[in-house]
Formats: sequence, structure tokens, C-alpha cells
Amino acid sequence: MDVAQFIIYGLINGSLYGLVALGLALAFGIMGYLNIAHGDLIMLAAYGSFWLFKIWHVDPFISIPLMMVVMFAAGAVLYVAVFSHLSKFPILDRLKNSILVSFGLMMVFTNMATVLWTADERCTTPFYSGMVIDIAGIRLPYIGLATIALAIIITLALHVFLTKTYFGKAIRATAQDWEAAELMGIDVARTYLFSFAFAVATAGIAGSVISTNVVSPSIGLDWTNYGLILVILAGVGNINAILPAGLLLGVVEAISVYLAGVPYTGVAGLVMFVLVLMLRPQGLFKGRAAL
Amino acid sequence: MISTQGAWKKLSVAAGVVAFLAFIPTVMSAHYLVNVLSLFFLYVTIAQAWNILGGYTGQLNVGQAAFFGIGALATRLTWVVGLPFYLAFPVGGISALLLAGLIGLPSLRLRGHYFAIGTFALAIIARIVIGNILPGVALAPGEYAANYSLLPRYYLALSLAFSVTLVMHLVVNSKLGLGMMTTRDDEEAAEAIGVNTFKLKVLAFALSSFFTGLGGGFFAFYYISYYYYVPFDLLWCFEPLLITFVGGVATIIGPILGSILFVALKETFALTFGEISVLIFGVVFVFVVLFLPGGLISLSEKFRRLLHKSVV
Repeated sequence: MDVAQFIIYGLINGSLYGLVALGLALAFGIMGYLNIAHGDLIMLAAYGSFWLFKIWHVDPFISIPLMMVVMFAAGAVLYVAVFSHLSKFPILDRLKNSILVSFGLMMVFTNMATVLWTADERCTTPFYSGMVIDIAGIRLPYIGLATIALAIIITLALHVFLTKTYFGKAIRATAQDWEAAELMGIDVARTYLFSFAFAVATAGIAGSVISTNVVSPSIGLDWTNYGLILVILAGVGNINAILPAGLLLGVVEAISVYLAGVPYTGVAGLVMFVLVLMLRPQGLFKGRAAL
Repeated sequence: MISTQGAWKKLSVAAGVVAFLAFIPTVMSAHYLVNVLSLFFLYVTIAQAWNILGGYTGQLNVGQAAFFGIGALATRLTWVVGLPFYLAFPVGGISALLLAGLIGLPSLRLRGHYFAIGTFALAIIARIVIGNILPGVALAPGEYAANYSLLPRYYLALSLAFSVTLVMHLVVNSKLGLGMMTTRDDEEAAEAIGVNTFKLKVLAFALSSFFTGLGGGFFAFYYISYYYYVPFDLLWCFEPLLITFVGGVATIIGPILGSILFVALKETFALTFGEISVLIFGVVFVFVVLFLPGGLISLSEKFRRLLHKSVV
């Protein structure tokens, strides 16, 4: 029974990891930008959700669409001001320079948040936080269940968007070969702008959910870390595998907590990550990459 | 190629600067300046060490904290156990070298970005593990703490920064350095003309981690007491990278210039808002990567050209 409880928590955490990694995987898969500052964008979105709750008592789950709009705009600005300058580079240099640039952005965002809001840990506390459904002694937290549902819905919606709509197909074409896509009449610059802004908008989803847990300027790096692990586990460009990879990581982590204790929570994922990186760099999940 | 005359000129300038720096503590007894300069030398050391691998060989080591930390840890532990410091100090460098061999080598076989991601993961793992295993404070051996003196630390840092700069200068101006830069610019082409790129990457990695470990050893010598995890803090990954790029990546002067700016900014805001200095430095860094790939050092070259043009 005890193990089952751990696995439930693992699944809940895992779907949150999936939400976190989605934006990172999109930017990486579509444009070849590894945005290390993604976790910090999530941190900023979490602050946005926190202040909405604190000042206007907006429920963190209601603030998801709001934060998505805000983060979409922020992503567009960020792309135009910073990342668009990298799109002229060949793909490997793009990657390197995007790591460097987002590295700098990470420092800027973290320190900006510390200056603005101090290093205190905060969180949103909607009335249902801490409430659970009890099934045969296994506790299912409301927020956890909502997180799982949200992760599944978002992943499915994204899949439908990328495979069924015209614009989604244009994005996939651009991801596969942007030069060919340009020759086929796709506006690559606009596709990049939209894709990047959308990738940042997903930080609004993850940030709002995370605001129910803990918000502080230093959480960004941890979430980037989880995002990176998932991108590697899923395989670069394999958007569909992000959520399964997240669930796997969550469960493995939960089992390691059960066996080795809480302090080593982060290590299990990283060890898995290093092993996959060395033995199977194309990712754990087979099948056609979604992008 | 550098002419002999140019080399002599550079050498004499370097000797002059080092002599001047060596002279400072004898006149200025102000501990503040000596402290700040010691820190500056430390940053020069780890930035130069980062530069040989990241700047000249093109392998982005985003996990330098692991190597810095292991150097500090090894030096501090062997020193506390009773090894004299002049032996404990190189132990730090050697242990970083071992870590590079053990964990870094397999990841070097992976292409470009995987090395960056892999080293970053290594740094995070090291940080978590050390924080859990050694949660306490690392204390220096009692008799050393009792008669702590800044001067030996100052001179150790100065000679460390000087020797790492000298070694890097010699390496990058040799055939090896040329091979490293070729590896960075086009690995396939380098292989095709017979450059053993893997060997050169390993050499650059070895040099980089050894000096980073020595930097860690200095850290363990400089601070009487600190939490064991502090030298493993991820800041030690970011700062040398930022410093190198702001100053001028793949140049010898770049890391020095970057360290001057970094330490100056840090000290300016140390008493008011510590975070502001990193914020400013981060913005400058992003700007440099995007619009000034040669770093601030390239400004002087541009300026000189402009001047030359207007004169002619």
C-alpha cells in the first residue's frame, strides 16, 4: 500500500515534469534552441500566478490561460529582442549560442526576481490545497489529479494541433528542414516567432501549477534541470514522448525516494539522464518523432 | 605568427604587471585590496582554465563547479588530515584531473551539445551529493587558522593566475593550440587533415580541469571555514563562462579583462545589492554573445582600426 502511494505521487510529479519540459522540448525540437532559461520563465510565471492570487484572489488554475497569454507575449518579445539574432547561424552554432544566451538570461531573471521579490519562499493556497480523495487508503490530492488531467489534455491538444492544423504542419515542416520549408512558401521567420512564443506560453501553464507548490527565485534552475532530463529521455524532437518520459521519471524518482530517502530525490533522475546520454543518446522512446 | 620581438614585448609587459602586483602588498597593507586582488586572481585562473576547453577547443564545459569543488574538497580533506599544504594543494588539481578522466572522457566522445548538457548534470549531481554527505562546515587545520595570514594566500593566487596564463599562452601558440582551434572550427575537416581531435580535446580537458582543481585548492586555502557545498555551488559553473565571454573568448587577455570587470562590479555593489552586479553582468554577457562575439577585448581592435582608417 505504501509503495502504491509513492507511485501515485510519482505519477503526479511526473505529469508536472511533462508540463515543464514541453516548452523546452518545443523550442529545442523546432528551432534547435536549448533555452536553459525556460525554468526561470516558469519561475516568473509562477510569480505572476502568485500575485494574481494574492492581490485579486484569482484561483491558480483559472490563471493558467491568463498566464499563457502573458507568457506568449513575453516569449514574442524575448524572441524578437534576443533569440531571433541566433536564427542566422547553422544548427550546431545555434544550439551553442542559445545555451550561452539563455545562460545569461537565467542569471538575469533569477537575480531580477530576487531584487524585486526577495528570496522568500511563497505559494498560492486555494481552498482545496491539501484536500485529498481517499481510495482504499491511498490519498489522491485534488491538485495532483488536476495536474495529471491538465498534462494529458495539453499533450493531446498539442498533438492534434501539430498534426491536423495547417499551421501545425508548417511548424513540423520547418522543424524538419527550414530551408526546404521556406522554398515551399512557409514564412519561416513567422513560424519561429510563433513557435518560440508558444513554447514560452507553456511556461505559463507549468508556472501556475507550480505556484501551488513553492515559488522562489531559485526554483528556475531545478525546473530547467527536469526539463533537460526529459528532453534527453524522450529523445530530441519527440514531443509525444515527453509526457511518458515525465511519468517514467516521476515513478523512478518516487521509488528511489522510497528506497534511499528524500535528500537524494534529484539524483535518481540525473543518473538516469547520464546513463541515457551515454548509452542511448537518441532517447528511450522508439517511434516516429512528432516533429 | 607572432614575431620574436612582439613576444619579448608581451613578456616584458607581463613581467612588469606581475612584479607590480607582487609589490602591492608590501606597500599597501590595506587588507581590502589584497583580498579583492586574491579573488581576482582566482577568477583569472578558473576563467583561463575554462577558456582552453570552451574557447579554444569548442567544448562547452557548463559543469566547472564539479571540478572546482572536487579540488577544494580534496585539498581541504588531505590538508586537515595532516598533509602539508604544499602537497595537499596539487592533490586538488590531480583529483579534478581524475574526475575528468572518470566521468568527462566518456562524455567527450559525445558530440557538442551533449558534452555541455552532460557536464551540467555532473555539476548538479555533485552539488546534491556533497550537500547530503557533508552537510557541515569545513574547518581549516587549527594552527593555520590561528595564525592566518593573507600574504601567502595572495602570492599563491598570484603565481597560480600567472602560471595558468603562461601555460595557456604557450599552448595556444603551439601546434597543439592550432589543432585545438581547428577542432573547434570544423571537426570533420580537422580529422580529414590528420588532426587527432579526440586526443586534443582530452588534452584541453585535462589542462582545464587540472587548473580548475588547483583553483579549488586555493579556495580551500583561502577560506578558513566554509560549508562543504560552497565550492560546488553552481555559481562556479556560470562565473568563469560569463567572465571569459565578456572579456573575449579564445583570447588570453579576455579572461583577465573579464575578471577585472566582474570583480569590480561585484565589489561596487557588494554593500548594497549583491544581485545587481550579477544582473548587470548577465545583461552584458547576453549582449556580448549576440552582438560582440569577440568580447570587450575586440572593441579595442575595432577602435584601433577605426582610428587607423581615419588617420589614413
